[in-house]
Amino acid sequence: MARILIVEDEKPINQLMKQNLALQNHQVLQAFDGKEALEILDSRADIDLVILDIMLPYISGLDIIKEIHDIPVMFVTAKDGIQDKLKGLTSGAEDYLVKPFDMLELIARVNLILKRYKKDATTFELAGVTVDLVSQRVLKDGEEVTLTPQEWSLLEALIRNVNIALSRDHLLNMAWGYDFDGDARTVDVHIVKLRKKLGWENQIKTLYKLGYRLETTQ
Amino acid sequence: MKLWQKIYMTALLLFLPVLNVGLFMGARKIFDYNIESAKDQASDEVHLLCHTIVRDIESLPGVQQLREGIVEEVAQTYIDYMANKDSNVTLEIRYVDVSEDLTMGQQLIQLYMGGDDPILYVTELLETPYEGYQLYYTKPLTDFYQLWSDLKMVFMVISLSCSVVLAAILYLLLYEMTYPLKRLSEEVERMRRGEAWVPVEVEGKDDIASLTERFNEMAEEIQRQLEQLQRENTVKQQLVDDVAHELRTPLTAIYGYAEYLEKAPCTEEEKIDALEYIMTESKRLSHMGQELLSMAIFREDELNREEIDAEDFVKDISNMLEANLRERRIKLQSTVGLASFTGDRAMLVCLARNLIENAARASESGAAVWFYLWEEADDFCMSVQDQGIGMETEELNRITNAFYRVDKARSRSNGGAGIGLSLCDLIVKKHSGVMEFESEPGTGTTVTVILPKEVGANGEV
Repeated sequence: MARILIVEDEKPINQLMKQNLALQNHQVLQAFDGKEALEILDSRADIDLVILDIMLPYISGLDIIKEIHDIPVMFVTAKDGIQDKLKGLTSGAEDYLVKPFDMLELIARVNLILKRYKKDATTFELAGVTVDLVSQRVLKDGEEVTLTPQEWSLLEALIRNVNIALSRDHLLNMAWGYDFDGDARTVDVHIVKLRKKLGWENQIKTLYKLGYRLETTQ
Repeated sequence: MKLWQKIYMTALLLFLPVLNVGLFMGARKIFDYNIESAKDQASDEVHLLCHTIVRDIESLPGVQQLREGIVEEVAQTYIDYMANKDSNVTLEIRYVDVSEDLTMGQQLIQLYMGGDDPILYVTELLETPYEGYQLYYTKPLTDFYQLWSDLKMVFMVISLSCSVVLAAILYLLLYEMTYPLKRLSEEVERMRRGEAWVPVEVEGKDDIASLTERFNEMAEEIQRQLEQLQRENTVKQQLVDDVAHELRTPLTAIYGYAEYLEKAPCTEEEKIDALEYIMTESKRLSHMGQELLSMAIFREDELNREEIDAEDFVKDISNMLEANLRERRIKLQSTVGLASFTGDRAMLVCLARNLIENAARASESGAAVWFYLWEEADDFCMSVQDQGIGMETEELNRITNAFYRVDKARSRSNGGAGIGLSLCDLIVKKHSGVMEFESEPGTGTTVTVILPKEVGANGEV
């Protein structure tokens, strides 16, 4: 769980990003223009990541980033020219995401940056199960649960994208890699095993046409 | 081969043979003249000798005159004398009785070329009564071949040096004369490589100078047009970038919320909000499409000037905006200070509508927006006033060059499409008018449009 500041002048998009990141249990702060962003950055020292638009009222994103030290910045902008990207990345940003973006891409990139800065969650707790993401150990009511490597990969993929519906294909790719030759049935089989081992019958939801979703809210 | 080299070669090819033939003929003439004068000299000499011999004999006493061999005797003295005087000359007297070729007083002059030297033969009959005798004069022209080769030598030297000097002068002259062409070609090449044109200096008033001048003019014109094209291109590119950016924003929201609805476990409230966003952003997208379309149409369209009834015009606009204004609970107060005016009706309606919509967007719910229409000496004026959020001076300045950003900052919460003001600007410019903004944050904005009554035929943008 990290504290993320979103600086974006379009309210719908700011809100959208906030909701997406909130699904991951991140704590989200919002700023709608350059001035507001700098005020928040000045008053708080506990921000782990700044998501920044470039074209902002009053102060542009490229000027704001000059004032930011020690906090990773990710640009999310509609400017998709290679020159703009280079300008963004050479200004010290960790990443550059072009609108319109995919929810999963935003989350994956945010996770990557947080991991690089060691701000990502190391443990995950849900319904009596504690998952240590570093040592790859799973405790259920204090007792260790043994998982096969495939089961672990699947569990990690679900946890990294918690509260988001993931298709079987997507899960297959994330947990087994792109070169794995299995079919969607493989996922179903492993999901059943995971549910049983962790007692997550209700937590891992099967969604019609979509796939599976690990839910923290009931 | 370059032009100057061609001219050079042609001139040399034409001139050198003429020069050399001329010189050769000159040499020949001198040689011939020399031979001729040698002949004349010999002829005179022989004639004189014949005459003298006869006189000498006649001056002798009568008996002596008739003596056998007297002619040979007298002649011999002259033969000896000549032999002394000029060892080359051989003189001979012969009795031929009747000459076949000669009559008295005539001379036979012959020149034998061939052999080592040309030999000159001169023969003459003595006068009566000694006409049986013939005087033979033989003179080898020893120096003449030498003379000829000397002459040839001299003329060769003259020809050669003349040719060299001529070639050199011609070369320099042509090179110098065609140098401006070379410069011009260099500059054209530089321009072809995309470098900026540096005007070529014009010297004199010949063809090349006028060509250079034309070229300078042409290059300047090309450069001017190129720059204009580039400027227009930048503006167009900016517009395309802006449009792309402005299209992306609603698209991101629409796609993002749809995806959120699909993939996230949403609460009822979240669902409604997301759908709300999707709908407003779709509306915004469609509105933007409409404005872009009008902009494209207005940009291309000829100005369709007509007489517009002011009351009618205002009624039209308030009808058009009624629903929109009622939704925001904005009151439109119109004041019409003229009966009619001229302009493109469709465009002016669009202009007024956009300005009023902007004013409404900037205003609080329940506020009023004022619309004035009046005329001054040479202009029709239109003004929209609101008591809304207003703009900073900084923003006002940016309005004229980058409408977009300012509008974007303002339209954040009320869904403006962002192209409105640039559309207004286009319409005003098409009417050769000006648009002025007066604004203060917190107190409101007044936009005044001034359209001249008299415009040039096609109201240039």
